[in-house]
Amino acid sequence: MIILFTALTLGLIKKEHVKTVAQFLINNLIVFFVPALVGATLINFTDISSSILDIAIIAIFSTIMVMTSTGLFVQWREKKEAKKNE
Amino acid sequence: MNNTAYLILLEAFFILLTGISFIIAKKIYSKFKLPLLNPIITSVVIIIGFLTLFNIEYSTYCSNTRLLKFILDVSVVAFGYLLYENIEFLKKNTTTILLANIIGSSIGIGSVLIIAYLLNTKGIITMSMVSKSITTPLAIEISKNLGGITSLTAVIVVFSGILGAVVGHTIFQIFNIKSPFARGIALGTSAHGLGTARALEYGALEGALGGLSIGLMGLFTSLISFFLQ
Repeated sequence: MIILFTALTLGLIKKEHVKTVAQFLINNLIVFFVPALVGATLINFTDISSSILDIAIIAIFSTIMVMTSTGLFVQWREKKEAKKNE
Repeated sequence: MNNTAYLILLEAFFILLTGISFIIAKKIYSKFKLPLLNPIITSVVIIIGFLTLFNIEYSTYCSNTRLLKFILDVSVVAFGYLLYENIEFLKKNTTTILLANIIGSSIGIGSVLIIAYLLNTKGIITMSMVSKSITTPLAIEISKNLGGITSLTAVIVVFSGILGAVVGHTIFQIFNIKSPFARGIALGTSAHGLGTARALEYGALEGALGGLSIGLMGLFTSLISFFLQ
């Protein structure tokens, strides 16, 4: 990611060369997650069955906490910046 | 027919199956626009249905779609293009982006440790979950280093990603998170590639910020988890 970004910035690669492929990959990114998810059904669930509820609670709360904290932080910084520029 | 040709055909068949399922899933999603009909969920249901119907082992499917997994591993590169398209914005907001990702990775790891402590979760499960907010290949590396169960990590990463993509919009409404900047970062930090795919539906800037957050979250989470060993 960094290498492509740098190469584009320095003009080593022309934007037109990568645009189509990059946009196709980005637009269809989630299709590449499908095999991983089908593979998930292969896990030996008996090993972790006693922890299934813990796993669900941790994943749900932690994901929402990360999302809310970063979202609110960015919005707060934006408002602060906007005030400074007034 | 020789063995190699057979294997290539098999791989082509399963990739085609995945592609077609995804196209159908996307059509369904664009028709109803319900977050729960996220194309990845529908695709997986279609594929599992197909495999069950024709009595094909799931492991046969998985070992013959390695090309897709490989593309997933390298696809983060494509976000270099989106970053380039939004360079002016990124230059102006470097500090906020970096701080948001440091906060995201700290809370991502911290919340897992704290909730696991409160629930008295087994250590090996906790260590498998620490890296759940980052992209699969990196998350698996971290889980391996911490002594977690890597296959469990892979599932939890995808689960968290879908969850973030599905609940994202509701969370934004509850907490009144409206700006494209905040939405892109929030989805990228909490739900990596799947969140970023959702962010792209809002707009290109949201997508670029999501993509950048995948990389930064991976970096900071790796650094912090190094101290957990």
